[in-house]
Amino acid sequence: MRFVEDDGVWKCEIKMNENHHDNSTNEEQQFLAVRDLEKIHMRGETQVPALRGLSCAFEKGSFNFVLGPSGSGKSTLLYLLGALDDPSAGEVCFQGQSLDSLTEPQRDHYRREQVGFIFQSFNLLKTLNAVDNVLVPFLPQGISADLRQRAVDLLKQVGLEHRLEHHPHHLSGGEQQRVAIARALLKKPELVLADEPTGELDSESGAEVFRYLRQLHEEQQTTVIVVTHDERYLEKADRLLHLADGRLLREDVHNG
Amino acid sequence: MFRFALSNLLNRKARSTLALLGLTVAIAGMVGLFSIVEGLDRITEESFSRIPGILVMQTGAPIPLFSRLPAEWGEDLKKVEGVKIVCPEIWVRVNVLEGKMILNPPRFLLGVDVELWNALSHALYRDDLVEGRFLNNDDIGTRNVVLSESIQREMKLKLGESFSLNGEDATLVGVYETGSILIDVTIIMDIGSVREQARFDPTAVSAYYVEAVDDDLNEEVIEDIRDVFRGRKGDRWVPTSSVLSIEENPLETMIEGLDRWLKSASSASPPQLSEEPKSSSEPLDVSPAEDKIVTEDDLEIEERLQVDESIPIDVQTADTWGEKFGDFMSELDFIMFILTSIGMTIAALGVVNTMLMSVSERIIEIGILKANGWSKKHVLSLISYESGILGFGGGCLGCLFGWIATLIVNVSFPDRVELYASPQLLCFSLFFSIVLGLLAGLYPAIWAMRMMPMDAIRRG
Repeated sequence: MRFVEDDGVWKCEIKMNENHHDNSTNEEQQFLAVRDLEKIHMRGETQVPALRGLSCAFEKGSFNFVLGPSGSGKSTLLYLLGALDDPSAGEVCFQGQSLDSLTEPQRDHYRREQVGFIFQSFNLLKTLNAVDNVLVPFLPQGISADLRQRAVDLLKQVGLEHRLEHHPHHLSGGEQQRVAIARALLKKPELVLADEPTGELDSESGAEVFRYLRQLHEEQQTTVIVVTHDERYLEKADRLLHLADGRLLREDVHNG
Repeated sequence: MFRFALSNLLNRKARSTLALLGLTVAIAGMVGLFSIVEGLDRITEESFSRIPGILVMQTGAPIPLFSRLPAEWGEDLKKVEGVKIVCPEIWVRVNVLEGKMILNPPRFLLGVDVELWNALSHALYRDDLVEGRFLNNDDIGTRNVVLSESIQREMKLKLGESFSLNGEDATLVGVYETGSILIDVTIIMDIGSVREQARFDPTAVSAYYVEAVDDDLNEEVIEDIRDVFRGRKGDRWVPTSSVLSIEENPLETMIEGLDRWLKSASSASPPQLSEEPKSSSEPLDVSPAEDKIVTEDDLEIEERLQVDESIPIDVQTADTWGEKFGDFMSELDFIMFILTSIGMTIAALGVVNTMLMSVSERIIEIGILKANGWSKKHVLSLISYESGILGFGGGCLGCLFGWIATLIVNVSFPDRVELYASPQLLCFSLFFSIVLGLLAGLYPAIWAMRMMPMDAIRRG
C-alpha cells in the first residue's frame, strides 16, 4: 500500500496479499486503508496512546473481525474508520480518498450515506419507535413513503415485524440490536462498522444478530468490520486482524 | 424534524414542564404588568373622550382638585368670542362617607352650577344617568346629590335615601354610570352647597368648564382665552417641596404635607394675586403651596413644569389633557419594561439552564445522530425546534394565564383597577416568548453542534 497525492487529494494505492485475492480490481484494492494511524487520548494532562502507527487495508465486500484485548485500540480504530473521530497522526483512506481531506459536510455525507454503525449498547433513541429509529439518518431530509416502507421491510427481515411501533424500552437487548442493524443497513452502506455488537447480549441473541448481519452482508455485498474479543461467531474465510497495544500484531484468515 | 423535536419534548415530561413553567410565569407576568399600562391608557382615552369641552385650571395643577382660580375670572371667560357657556366647578375630596374613612378608591365631591350644567349641549354625568334624575333648579341650595352606580352599590343606597357625606346629611336623587373608574368616583352636588359644606373660599372656584358655540372651534377659543389672560398675574400651583427634602424625616414631612393638603382641599382659596382681584377686597392665600420660601427643590420643580409664565391659567381640551396623561403613561411603560426585563432575564436564564441540562443529558443521543450523518446544522435545527416549541407553548400558556388573571382582577376589584390585555399585547408576548425560547436554546444548541460524535458518545 502506498499513498500518492492526486490533484491535492491523497489517494491510496494498495497492493493486497497476492495469495489472498489475485483477481482484485484496483477499485477493490483501494476500498479502505489506514496508514501509520496514531490516536492519543488526553486524560487530563496525561496522554494515553490508543493507536501507535497502525497500517492495514480492507477489501470491498469482505467480512472482517478486529480482535484483541481491552485497550488494544480496536474501538478507536473503528471510530477513526467511520470518521467519528480525528486521528492524531496518519491517515484513513476510503475508496482512494483521504478522510482528512473531506470537508465537514462531506464527512457528514460519508457517515450518513456510506457507513452504517452498530454499537455495543445499541444506541437507539428512546423517544422514537423501532421504525423511526431505523429512519434516524434520514429524519432531517424528511421521510418518503418508500423509505419508510424500506425501513419496515428491513425490520421484517430481521424478525421484528411484530415490534414496529415499539419503543426501545419495550424491546429486548437482541431486538434492540436488530433494530440497530436495520438502521445501519437502511442506507445500503458500503461499509458497516460494528463495535462489540454482541457485548450486551446472551449467546443465543448474539448468534441471531450475527446470523442477520451475515445474511445482509451476503445480500448487499457490504464490507463489514466487527470489533470483538469474542471469537465464538467467527466463520471460515473471515479476515482477522489481531491488535495489541495499538499496533497490528498479525492478520490472517479464519480457517473455520 | 418537528415531529422528532416534539416527541423529544413529550418524552421528557419533567424537564419540558419545568421549562414551560418558567416561560409561562415570565410571560404571564409580562402580560399582567403591561395590561396595567394598557388598562390605564384605555381608561384615560375613554374618560377624556367623553368630555368635549375646554378645561380651565390653575397653571401647574395636575387635576382640578388642586386648582384654585378667582371666581370673577368666569365673567372674563364668558366674554371670550366663541364661548357659549362657562361652568364654574368646585372640587373637594370626600373624606368620610357614612362614617367610614375613604382612602382608596378616592371619592370626590363636585359642586356644579346646576342651571349652567343643564344648559350644556353635552354634559358629563347628566348624559350618563341610569337611575333617578340629574340635579335641577329645585336642588339649588339643597344637599341632593347624584353619584355613580359603583358608589351606590358600595354604599347600598336607594334613591331618596339620605346618607352622611363628610359628616353632613345628603340625599341621593340620581345615579349615573360612565364605566370609567376615573370618572365614576365623583359625587355631584349644587356648587353653593359644596362651598358651604367645605367652607370653600367664596371668592374662588377650582376650575371652569367651558363649552364653545361649536366643538370645532375649541382650538381658536383656547387661543383667545390665553390671549385674554396673558400678562395677568397669578400664582401657579406648586407641589409642596417639603416632602422632597432628604434632610428632614420623610415620614414626618409626608404626614405634615398630607395634613396641609387635606386642609387646603377643604378650605381652599384662590391663588394670591399680585394684582388685586376685582371682586375681592382681600386676597387669600391658602393654596396647597403654602411654603413660600424658595428652595433648590422648588427651582427644580419650576424647571420641570415649564409653562408660559405669562398666563396664570392652563387652558386645554380634555383630549390634550389626556395626551399629558399619556406622557405619564409612557414613563410608566418604561418602568414596566424594566420590571418585565428583569422577569424575562430570569426566565431566559431558566430556559438556558433547562436546555443545557437537556443537552447534557442527551450527549450520547447527539453523538448517535452525528454518527448517523446528522450535520451541525441538523443538530442545531433540532434543538432550536425544541426550544422554539417550548417558547411557543410557554407563550400561549403565559398569555392565557395572564389574560385570565386580568379578568379575575377586573371582576374582583371593579371600582379600583381596570386591566386590559389587548390582542396586540398578547400577540407581542407570544412572539417575544418564541424569540426568547429560540435565543435561550441557541447556546446549548451551538455547544451540542460543535461536539465531535465520538466525544459525545464517550462523554455519555
